[in-house]
Parts: sequence; C-alpha cells; structure tokens
Amino acid sequence: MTETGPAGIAGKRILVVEDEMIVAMLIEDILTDLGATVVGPAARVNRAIELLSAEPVDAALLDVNLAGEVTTPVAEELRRRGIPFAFATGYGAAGVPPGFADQPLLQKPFQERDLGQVMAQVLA
Amino acid sequence: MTDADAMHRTEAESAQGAAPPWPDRDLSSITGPWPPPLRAAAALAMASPQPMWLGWGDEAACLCNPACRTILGHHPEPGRPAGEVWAAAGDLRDLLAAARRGEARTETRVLPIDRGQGPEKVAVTFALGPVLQADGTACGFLCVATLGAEAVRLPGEEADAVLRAAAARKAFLADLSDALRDLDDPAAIACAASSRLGPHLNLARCGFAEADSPGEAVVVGGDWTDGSSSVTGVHRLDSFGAFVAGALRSGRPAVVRDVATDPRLDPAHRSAYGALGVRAHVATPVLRPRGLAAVLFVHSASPRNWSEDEADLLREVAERTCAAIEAARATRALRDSEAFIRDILQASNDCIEVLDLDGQLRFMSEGGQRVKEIGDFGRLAGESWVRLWPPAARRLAEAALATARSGGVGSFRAQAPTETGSPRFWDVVISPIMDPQGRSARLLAISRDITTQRHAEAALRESEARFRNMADSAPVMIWTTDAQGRCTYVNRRWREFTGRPPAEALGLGYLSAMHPDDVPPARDMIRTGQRPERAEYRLRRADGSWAWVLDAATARHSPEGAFMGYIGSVADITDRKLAEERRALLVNELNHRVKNTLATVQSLAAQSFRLGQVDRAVRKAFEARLMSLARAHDVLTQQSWEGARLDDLARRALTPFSTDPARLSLRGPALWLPPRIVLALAMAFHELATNAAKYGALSGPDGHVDLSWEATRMAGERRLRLVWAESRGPSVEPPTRQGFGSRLIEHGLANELGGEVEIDYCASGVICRLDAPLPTEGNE
Repeated sequence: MTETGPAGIAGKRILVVEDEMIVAMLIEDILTDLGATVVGPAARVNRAIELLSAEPVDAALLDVNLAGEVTTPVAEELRRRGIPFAFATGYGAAGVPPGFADQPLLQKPFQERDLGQVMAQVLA
Repeated sequence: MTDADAMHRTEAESAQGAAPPWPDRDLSSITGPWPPPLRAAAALAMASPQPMWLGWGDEAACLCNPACRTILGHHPEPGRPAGEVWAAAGDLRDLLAAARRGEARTETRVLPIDRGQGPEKVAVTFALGPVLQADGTACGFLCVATLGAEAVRLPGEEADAVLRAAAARKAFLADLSDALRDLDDPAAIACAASSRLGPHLNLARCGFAEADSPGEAVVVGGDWTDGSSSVTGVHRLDSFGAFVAGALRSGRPAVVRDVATDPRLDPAHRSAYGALGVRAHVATPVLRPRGLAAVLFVHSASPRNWSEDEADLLREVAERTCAAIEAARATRALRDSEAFIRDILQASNDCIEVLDLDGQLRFMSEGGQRVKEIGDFGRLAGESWVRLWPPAARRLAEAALATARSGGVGSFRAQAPTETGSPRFWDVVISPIMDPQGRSARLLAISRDITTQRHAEAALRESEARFRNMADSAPVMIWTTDAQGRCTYVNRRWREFTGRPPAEALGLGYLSAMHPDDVPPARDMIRTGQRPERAEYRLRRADGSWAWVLDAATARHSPEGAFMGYIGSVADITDRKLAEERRALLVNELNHRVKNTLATVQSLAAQSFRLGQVDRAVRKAFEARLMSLARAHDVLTQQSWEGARLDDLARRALTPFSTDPARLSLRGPALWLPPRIVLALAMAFHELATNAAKYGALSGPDGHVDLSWEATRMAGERRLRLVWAESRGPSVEPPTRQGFGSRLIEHGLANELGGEVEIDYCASGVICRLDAPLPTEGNE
C-alpha cells in the first residue's frame, strides 16, 4: 500500500536512529514507501556514528532516548556534518536535549502523515 | 510739784464737784456683812486726805478713798480687784498675798501719774497692814499710799518725754508682736500690723505691700485707712517716681514731709499723691538678699514732720511684719511638706522603718504597719529589729544591719510572715541616716513586699523549665527568635542533629548550619521580616551530610499583642524528599514506557494493516483513536500523572477537529479530574468529535458544538454533569446499529465512571448527557 508522500523525500538517504524494533520497522516502511533509502536503523549511539562515517546521509531521524542512552552525541555529529535531522520522542518538546530546542520534532506515537511532514520539513 | 500742791488740788477738785465725794455713795451693800474692825478702818480711810485703800476677801477686793484719785487720776468703783485697780503699779500679787496672810509690808513702785502736764513717773510707797479682829485674825488690810518724801522725779521734761516715747514704743511693739505671733496667714499679718500702726501714729492710711519676685512691683493686699480711699492693688515701683523707687531699691526709707513742696518729687507724682489726698508719707523698704521684699507705707493727709523715732518705729514694724509673714509662710511650707511626707509614708506600700544604731526599732510608717499587718506598733517600738525577723532570716538581717551601721547600704531578701501570719517575701534595703556631721545617726530600713513578684518569677521559671523539658524531649528541632529574627533558643534535638553547641545557633549563628545555597533566601527573610509558615532547606548533620528539613514557624505575641518573634520546629524530611525524587523518576520512566508502548502498538497496527490490506477507513479510525489516547496521556504526563483539568483535557482532545471558537465552545469551571476519569473522558470526547466531524455539527460549514459542565453537590456527593450539544448541523437520524463510539460512550464510559450517560439523537443535533460521581475533594 503506497501513498503519495510530501515532495523532497524520494531518493534521499535517511539515517534512522531508533531502539524500539517495531517502531524502527514502521519508520523504515513509511520512509521506503515515500521513496527514501533508510540508513540503519541504528539502535545504539556508537552504531549511528559509525554509519555516519561509513555512508552518505542526507537527513536523519533521531530517537532521543536509546534504552537510557541519550543521543546527544549523534545530534552533535550531525550538526558538525551539516546534516539536517529531526528528533522523535515520547516526552514532547521537554525531552529534547539542551541546545537542540529548535530541531523539528516528531511526537510519538505518530501517524504516517506526521512522519512524512516532519521529514519534508527537515529536507526543505 | 509738792505733796502740798497735790493735796490742794484734790481738795479743789472735790470743791468743784468733779466726782461724787465719799461717803455720799451708799456703801451699805459692801459694808453690810463686814466685821466691825473693817468697817471702822473704812470710815477712817474715807475721811483721810492721805491716799488710802482697803482690801478684803480672796480676790483682794478693793475700796479706795477719794485721795487715791491723786495717784490713779480717777476714783475707781468699790469692790473691784486690787490687782486690776492698781495695775499701773505692776504686779502686786506677792504683796497682796502677804497682806491676806496678815503680814505687814512696805513696797515702793514707780507709777505714771498725770498731774495735768502729761504723765510723770512718780515713786509711790505702799504700806500695808492687817485689820485684825478680836480673835487676832485678819479680816482685811489697809494700805496707805505715800507720794511723800520718797517720790522720785526724773530730771527735765525732755528726758521724761523720751522715756515716755520709749515706753509707748516698747508697749506698741510688744502688742504688735503679741498680735502677730498667732497669725499664720500673710494677709492677716499685714492687716493686723497696719490696723495697729494707723491709729498709733494717727495716720490717714498705711499698709504693708509685698514686692513681686523681680522686685519691680508691690502688691497691696489690704490697707488700713482712717476713712480715706484704699490703695489695694498692684503698683509698679517706678510709678512712684525716681526718688521713691530709688530709695526703696537701695533699702533706704523714702521720707516726704510735704508732698507739695518736696523738690525730689516730680510734678506728675506730686499730683498723683495729691489725688490720693496724701500730703506727707514714708515708704519703708524691707530688703532681703534677693532684693526688695516688702514696703511699709504710711500716709498723712497733712504735712508732717516725721521724727527719727517714728522712722525707727516704721523700720521696726516693717521688719517684724515681714519676718512674721516669712515665718508664717515657712511654717505653712513646713506643715505642707510634713503633710506631704506623712501622706507618702502612709500611702507607700513599702514598710519604712527607722532604727537607732543599736538596731532597736523606733519608727514604722503607717503604710508599713498596714503591709506588715501590725495591730499595735507600740508593742514593737524599742524591740530589736533583727529579732523581729524569723530565725532563718536573722543572719541576713544582722549582716545588712552591720553594713548600714558602718555607713554602707545593706540589703537582703527573706521570707517573714506578717503579724497575722500571712506568708510574705520581702526585699529589704537598709541604709544609714547621717547627722549633719556625716556620721551614721540612725538607720533607715525599707522592706518591700515582693511575694507576688516571687510567685510570678517562680511560675515563669517553672513554665520555662516545663517548656525546655518538653522541647528537649521533642523528636524535632525547636527554636525561638526575637522580633529581629535572632535566634534565642534551640532545643537539645538541634544540638544532637547538627552536632553544634546551642550557643552557636544563637543570634544569626544558626545560618552557618544551613546549606550555603539556602542562606541568601534565609537572610532575605530576616531582612524583610516576611517569614513563610513553612520553609524547606538543607541543614548539615553532625556527620557532615546534608539533610532536607521542613521548618514550620509561628509568630509569638505578648499578652498585649506585641510581636515577639517566632517559634518554630524543624523536621528532617530527607526521606520524603528522596521519595519524591524517586517518584518523579518513576513517573518519567512510566511516561517513557507508555509512550513507547503506544508507539509500538501503533507501529504494529500500522504494519499489520499494511500487510492485511485492511480498509483504509478502518486503519485511520484506529490510528485516530490511538492518537487520542496518546494525547490524553500527554496531559497526564504533564501533571506527573496526578490528574488533569477538564478544560485542558477537552481542548487537547478536540483540537484535531476544530480550534475555531465559533464552531466549538467549552464552558465550565476549572475542575480537577483523576487519571482514570481523564482517560475515559478523553476517549469519549474523541468518539463524539469523530462522529460530529463525520455526520454531525462539525461536518457542515455552520455547525456548532457546545461542551458544558458543572460540578454539583447532592446529598454530600459531588457529581459531574456534562453536556455535549451539537446544533446547526445536518439533520440527525438515530443510527440503525450501535457502533463502537456509541457503545464506548453509553456502556464503557458509564461503567467506568459509575454514572449515567445517554446520547440523544435529536434531529437538530446530537446531545450527550453525562452525570457521574466525582471522587471526594482534595485534588482540586
């Protein structure tokens, strides 16, 4: 089942950092449906940073909390590399690491439409 | 003048019939009961040309013969007492007493005798002999008065006048002194002096005027006049003219013999005197160290050649009058002051006693007798003061007495019952009363009843001890401050908790046991005086670790309502604080888990639906429901899962459908709901809104949803009444079969809330009514 996603996502390489397996699978499905290529998903900070060095990435979707591990280092690495990204969190805006309050935010749980909109915003 | 002349003159007078001659007067009333010898003596005397008189009886009644007129100047009534008739001869009592005893006596006296040229001093010899009866006893006596050869004459008329003037002056002054002696009113004294002086000097007016304190004016309180006008009132010294004022100020009398001609008076003053009818006057000042004290003024209506003697007399009268007035004032002042001291002694509740140096009680004030309940001070007077104290107090009393005796001030406190046995506590001070030489002459003991004060002190001590006992055994820290926020007390628990001596807490010392970060707010509190009822801060324990404490303070007020500071208790709430922190962590974790779980469920569903080729509408409905549940959780998460306000919840649930107030209105009080009700209502709102968006008021362009609620109280139970009312939407028809939404609302929600819910599919719009009990208050 495919749908017409927002412009600008198709063909992009998007790093997904998410430790909840099922959620990661859904994100992967939705982004793939929208025509993007998923890098990862990475469930750990180290893995995410490895992937950033190893593969070209156009944008990223970052879960804030990976089983107690905050993904701030990944966010800093992305910023260093100039790669746009959005946070995904169940905490709302309060859950965003300090210094990244202006980043686009995907509130969990989310609908397919929400994910598309956030990523389109990131890549705009 | 010779005796012969006197005789001659007496005869001449008799011949002229100036007085009825003896024995023409009827003597029978007197002589009737007389014994014959006395009657014979009377006949002899009456016929004699020699002055003779007869005395008889206890009072020495007296019968003078006509010749006595030579000496007395008149012929006295028979039967008057001899002492009175012959008063001019001085005191005759001894002489008369001897005569009554039957003794013969001869005595010479000097008498003033007027022989037509004014009084002269003449020596008169009285020879008294008894008149004896047949039995040898005296029935009276006969006195022969002789001016004969022994008569004394003073040399020259002038000397005689001087003598007479001196005698008159002496008599006047003696009379004045007698008159003034018993007067105690200054006005009466001035009046008595002037009323004697005026006639004596044959004046027109006189008076005694006292000067005011700067000596600029004199006050005439009352004057004596011969009928002339009075000059009472206040007179400025300068109004009498420079001469008079100057003389008075320098202490000299101002003597004016003739107002009309005296060159020292200026015309203005001359006419002023004239208006008063004063032609001559003397103003005699009395000077005191402070200046002019008084003026004695005498006025004459005609010119008068004031003599030196008169001037002297005026000075003497002025001085005596002034002295009498001063004495009267002093006496009155002394009397007032004595009365004052007496009143004080009587009014004072202190027992004031005077002892002699031996320690014997000599005086006790009336007030003292009252407080010591002494019935009769007479019994105690002269007793040993120390012995009057109970044995237990005597050593103290003796020591204090010894201190006072040696010139110091001794004091002690002791218990002693009053005379009637009431127990009392006394504060005693004993000090020496010095004589003019500065030696202890007597001792003054003042005992104050301090029983009530002692009881109050004891009660206060007991109350404080009770407070300290209680405070020290309390499991919390207790402190007090004064009105300035300085610590005045900490209990034992504070010492144990902080490991610091209580002295370190006093003043602002307690701040040093507080966490440095918590000190500034504490200082602000002291500075502003604004202390909250409860404050939380960190306090260093004896082992150096920090404890969270809760400090609860209450203001202390005196019985009069004055702010006296605070009293407070400090409890260790570290455990509670830790529990709070743990709970916050748990809630965070819970939020995270719930959200992740919902995200996972949603992901599972999304992927299942993808694979199962499920109807798109079904999938969307499911996702929307899941999202509404997630939003409700968001509301709860923000409030740490303690609940949420109904309006917040409704706004959050309905935002995805409409944010236009024209389409959707929320009306109702702020109402706090517990999590269980929040979640149930959130799902119900979602279903109602979804239905409205699909078929009802929110499906068309004009429809309106009104969500209103109220909290009511009925029979002690709080109830929530909530109405969802749609209007202006498409015409509504009841559904043919019950869908998930209406089932969730009518059954699920009603069961969950234990209330009633009904959906009314009115043609004008769906109306959903909810009536459910609310949990008891406390979280609102």
